[in-house]
Amino acid sequence: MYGMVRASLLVLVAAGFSAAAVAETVGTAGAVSPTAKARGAGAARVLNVGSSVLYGETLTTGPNGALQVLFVDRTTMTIGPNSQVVIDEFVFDRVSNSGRMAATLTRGALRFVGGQTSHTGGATLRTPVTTLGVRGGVASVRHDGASGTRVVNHFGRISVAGPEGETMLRRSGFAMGVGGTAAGSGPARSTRAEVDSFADALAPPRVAAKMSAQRSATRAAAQAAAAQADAAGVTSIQSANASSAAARHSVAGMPGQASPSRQAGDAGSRAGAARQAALLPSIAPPEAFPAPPQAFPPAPGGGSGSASGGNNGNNGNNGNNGNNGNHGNHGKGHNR
Amino acid sequence: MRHRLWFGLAMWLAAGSAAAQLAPISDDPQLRADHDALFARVLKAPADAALSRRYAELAARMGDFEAGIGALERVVLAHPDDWAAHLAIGEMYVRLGALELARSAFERASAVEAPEATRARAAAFLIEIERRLQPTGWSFSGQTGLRWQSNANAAPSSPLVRALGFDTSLPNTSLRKPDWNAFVQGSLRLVHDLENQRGDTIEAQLTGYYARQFRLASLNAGVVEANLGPRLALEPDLLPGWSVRPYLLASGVTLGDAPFAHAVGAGVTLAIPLGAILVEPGYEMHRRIFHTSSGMPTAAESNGRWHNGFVTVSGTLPPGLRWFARLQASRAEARADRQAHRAHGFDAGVAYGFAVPSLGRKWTLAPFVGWTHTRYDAPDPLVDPLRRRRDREWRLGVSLDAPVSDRLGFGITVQLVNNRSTLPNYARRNVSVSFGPTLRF
Repeated sequence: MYGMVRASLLVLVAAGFSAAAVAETVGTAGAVSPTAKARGAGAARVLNVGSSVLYGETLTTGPNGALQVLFVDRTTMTIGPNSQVVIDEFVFDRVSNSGRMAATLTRGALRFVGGQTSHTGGATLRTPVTTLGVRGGVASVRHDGASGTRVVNHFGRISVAGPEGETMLRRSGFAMGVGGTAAGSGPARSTRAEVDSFADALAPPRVAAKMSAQRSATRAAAQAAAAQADAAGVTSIQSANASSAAARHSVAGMPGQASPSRQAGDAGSRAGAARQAALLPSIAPPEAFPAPPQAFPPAPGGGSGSASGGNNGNNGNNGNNGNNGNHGNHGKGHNR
Repeated sequence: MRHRLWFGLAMWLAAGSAAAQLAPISDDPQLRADHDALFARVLKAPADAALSRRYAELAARMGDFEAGIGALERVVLAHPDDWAAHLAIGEMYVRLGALELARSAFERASAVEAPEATRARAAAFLIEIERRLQPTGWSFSGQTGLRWQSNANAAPSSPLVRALGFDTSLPNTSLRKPDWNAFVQGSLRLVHDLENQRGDTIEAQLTGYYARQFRLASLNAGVVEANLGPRLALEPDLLPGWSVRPYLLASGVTLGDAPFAHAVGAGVTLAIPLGAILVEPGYEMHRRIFHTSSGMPTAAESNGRWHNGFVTVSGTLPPGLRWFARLQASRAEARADRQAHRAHGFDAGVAYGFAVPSLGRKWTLAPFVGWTHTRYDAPDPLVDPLRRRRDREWRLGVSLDAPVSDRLGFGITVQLVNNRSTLPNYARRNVSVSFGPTLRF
């Protein structure tokens, strides 16, 4: 494999890629907790924070280890304990900010947060049972021999090629399984338990245990608050489930209609006093809760607000019902 | 050649849609240079948490949320109790629409050890995320209150009108009369996510309005309309975000607390996101039945189909300015030619949201304007056998939406409607002011 990649890179150089595009160092060990190893053509070496990661290397974490690799194209790959990842290919042209990469997850779990390569040429993640084409996105992937591969798409699109053909994961939060006991599952929305299990699988056991305890405490507190709010007649999490589609397009709430997006704004107002806590002041507070980039467009108010009357107001030939009859003249109901 | 043109059009539309999908990353050369320089330093010193935080902030400012997330996930791997970093990771996942991961990050930022301010902010996001991840969502918005109209009976501006082709004066009882009414209006909306990859949904909406006049009881008016239909993604890969919604509708109108008209029909709309703009063309057909009564013995002359084609375009302009424009053309068929007509017109408006610091709320001021030209097929012999009716109506107004709590608010709308007509019987003007509490959930 190493030789093939080498050969392909040489071909790319011959085809006109700049020399900068081909570099042995593809990234850096951005975080290591507590140990991880890399093995390339030579002997295995222990990775420390700041260690170079080379293409063709096999990255291995032990039962207590986790690793984040920061690639030169700004891709990050967080690799959980008991995992093994091979960097098969990495081509990146700093001038054009384009390239491609490929890696193989032999076992364990990883989270891929895309950089320039996944936005341009694309990134390929392989496991023993599938090949995933990641386009501009964020994905969680887990593989073990018995269970097969589970992949969750968080952002962007992922083509999932397996023995049963190719499937596109195109919606955020959707997951599917390939091979092993995971075969044939999905695409379907990933469960909360699965998202939790991925979070745990990507952290060292000590951190994962703490996270799990925090999660339980947070949810218990939220449930208690919701129950208390329900008893007091205040919006609870469960009762505040108004249409997300409507909320995304608050333009539907132009004159004459209440804006359903205001709920998000109110949530932001409640948090107003907390804004000083934000690490990143450039990120808008919740009142600007944005439309997700993959947002499905909402109904435009059922196409119109036109009541049956249409031009009813104009139909009364005694001229007496005009003002009251023309409620439906123009979809936004301004004249109510 | 034709195929190439279609292919080119499809590619252009796809490019526009794709642009709408991905968070825009700034092309500002200075920002990019700063970003590249900082990234080079991060590559050399990934353990420097302060540097990674600075890099994440810059990446977020550029709109490169993935890079920001990567930087902060590196920080929390080394410093699991960096609550502010968890909070920022959650916010950036929200920006990408990765709500499940955002929820995980906010739950971590809500740990009891985290500062109260961080927990409060995370809690606000968690509430909204839970709401958005529900497969079935209900929403309601409504208002009740009082409305004053300067010309509640829609009387002509001049007492001189036409009857049977002759000039005549209206009796005093038919002149313009101001009046108040008490009104209630509401819209209940349901969206059920079919939980497939296409993002298809079932949507239903029930809208109602009723006004009870203080003096002119014969003009008490009520309208109810319901529609139901699926919203289906068109071609998620080639045209992401495009959808079509066919729907059935039914409606009824009362006047003077008696049935005035009812209709059944169907419609279809398209939703086409093009960058920051949403374009929604559509068509509706209503089969209308008007009820004859002693006060309106010829109402059934208006029975027939009503066809309405429209295009709504909407978008957002920073800061906090939303806008919409709507063009439409309609054709009202009728049993009698004198009641059949064609109309075309437009409505447009902007909504400007501004913070009211003393209340901790955001109010919205929304001016709007509309115009309709209506042309009837034939003269009405009862009015003027030689002159066809043509109306040009202008509408101008402004509304203020002032929330005072999560659910309650106050709304005021002021509107002027001026209708010019080839027949003085229909030339009229009305000023209305409506106000009252609002409720939404």
